[in-house]
This record gives sequence, C-alpha cells and structure tokens, in this order.
Amino acid sequence: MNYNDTHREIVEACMQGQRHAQFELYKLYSKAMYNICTRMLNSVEDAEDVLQQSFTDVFTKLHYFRFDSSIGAWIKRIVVNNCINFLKKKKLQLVELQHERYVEKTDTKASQPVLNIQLIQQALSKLSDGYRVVFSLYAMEGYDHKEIAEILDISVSTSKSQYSRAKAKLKELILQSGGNVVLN
Amino acid sequence: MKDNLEKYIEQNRAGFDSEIPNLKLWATIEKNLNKEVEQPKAIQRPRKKIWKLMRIASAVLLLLLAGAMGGSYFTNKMNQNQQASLPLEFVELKGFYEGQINQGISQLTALEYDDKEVLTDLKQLEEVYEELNKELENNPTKSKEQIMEAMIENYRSRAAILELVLERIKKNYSNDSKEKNYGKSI
Repeated sequence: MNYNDTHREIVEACMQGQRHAQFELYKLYSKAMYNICTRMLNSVEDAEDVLQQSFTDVFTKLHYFRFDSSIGAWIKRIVVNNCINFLKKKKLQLVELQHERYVEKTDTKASQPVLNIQLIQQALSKLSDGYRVVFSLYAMEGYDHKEIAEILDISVSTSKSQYSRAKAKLKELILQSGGNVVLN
Repeated sequence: MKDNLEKYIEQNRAGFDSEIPNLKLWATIEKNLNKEVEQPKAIQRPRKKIWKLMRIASAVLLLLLAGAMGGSYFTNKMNQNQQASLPLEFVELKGFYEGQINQGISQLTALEYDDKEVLTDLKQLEEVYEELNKELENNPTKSKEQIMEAMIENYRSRAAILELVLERIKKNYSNDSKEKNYGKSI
C-alpha cells in the first residue's frame, strides 16, 4: 500500500476548495492533531487556537502538497511547527539550559508496578515546556532526533540529551505520584 | 533500546489521544477560509474551469477580430506602409512568447502528446493569431494597439495551456514511475 496516496481523492477535492471535502479531512485528523496540541502546549485554550490556525494553514497551503509524504504526516508537521512557533512567541524556553537536579527515588515500596495512561499524562503536564516538547516529539509523535533537531533548530546531540533528561524527570514525577516505572 | 516507559507508551499510544476537540472549532476555521478564499482562487481552480476560460478567451478574440476587420473595411486601407515601426515592447514580448510556445510544442511532440481537445484549442488560437497578424499588417494606426493587445493575449493563452498540459504530464509521469518502483520493491 502506498501511504502517500491515502485519502488522495479527499485531498484533491480540498485542493479545489470544496468545503465538504475540507470538513472530511478535518474530521479525519482533527482529534489526533488536537491531542498533539494539548500535549505540546499544555493548555486547552492554546491548543484550540493553534489547531484552528493549523487547519486554516493546511487548506490555504494545500497546493504545495505534492503527495511525496502522507497527508497525515504533512498536516502533523504543520501542527507541530505551529505549536513550536506558539511557544516561541510566548518566549518560553524550549531547551533547558541547566541540568535540572533530580533525585531518583529508589523503589522503597517495591509494591505492584503501577503505570497507566493518566499517570503518564499528569506527569507529562508537570514537565517544563522544553522537556515536554522534546519528550512528546520523540516518544509520542515518533520523530527521530534528526527531525527534532530540525524542528527545534538545535543539534542532534542536544535533542538526545534533552530527551534523556526529560525522560528521567518524567519517571521521577511518575514515581512521586505513586506510579512505578521499572527503570530498564 | 526502549525502556519500560517507552514500551508502555508505544503499546498504548492510541489511549493518549483521548481529548476531543470542541465542534465549534470548525466554524472558526471555515470563517478563516472564507476570508482567504479570494486570493488563492486562481491556483486552486480545477483544470476544467481553466479550459472554459481559455475558450471564452478565444471567443472574445474572435469578436475583437471581427470588430477590427469591420473597422478596416470602413476606413479603407489607407496606410500600407504603417507596419514599418511596431513598438519595441511588443516586439520583445512577441519574441519571448514565441520562444516559450515553440519550446512547449516541441516538448509535447517529443512526448507524443495526442489529446485532441487540447491540440484543437491550440490550433484554433493559432489560427486566430494568424488572422490578427494579417490584420495588423494592413490596418490603420488607430486599432493597431487593440490588435497587438489581442495578439499578446493570444500568446499568453497558448503559453498557459502548454504550461498546464506539460505540468500534468510531468505529474502523471512521476506518479507512474513511483508505482513502478513500488512494484519492483515487492
């Protein structure tokens, strides 16, 4: 199967400005994209704003889309870029300058390992913007460090080190709230 | 190597997309699109519309031609040697479009292009052009400008058709080769 041609008919109808096709495409991707926004921006209001702007961009720039990637990946990249730009505008630091000190709690309870989605989401929302963005891009959105370096305009090694720090911090937060992450 | 946390996320990835966007968000997007719709229209129009426009353009040219011919009939061929000096701008534009069109035509020929509808359109436009050219040669100064404008417009239409057709062929060609490559990889 050629993923680049997924939803080709809908995309082509969108390119012609057909509103019902645009709504179809929106319905297909809005949920996944909204969740990216909420994770990256950590705020429902901001996520709504960026989602609206992103889909407006998608439909006004669609004539640049050449079917050389899947439409989903293309939309996702617009959404991710808009999230990053939004955070930059808010002048939030995207990359932590200092190595945050954290203490890894040794597993004193040794109780049943608890790990669930909610726990991870809560911990994720407590991370700083820089850590949260890098962690989301790598572990949730499936970008590799080379791509993240490009998106955030940082070096590949910075992306790698930010990610491992973010992951360690996240584990610490999960442990603090009663979860258990077996560390490798 | 993925650790437990990463594995857990990967295995339960769908569960992390639990938030549902408010339905009212689409309304704003639609409003934004309505605002933007005026500008990029030309790029997004479907192909058929462009053909239609081209036909209308040729019809208009024919009308212009008829008018010019009528005019020349009544004014009598007064100035046969008027053609000597055509404005430089016109000559330059003419050269530019002729080059473009010739190049496009030879590309089409090389690709063995045979869409009758398109070729007929091009031929008709060319015929109209020849008529205009004749008219320009034995016409009074007054309507010359109009004829030259019509000629340039005619060039533009042909160049646009060629560009469109070649773009379409290229696109089809690249899709074909993609499919072929894909076929091989299985």
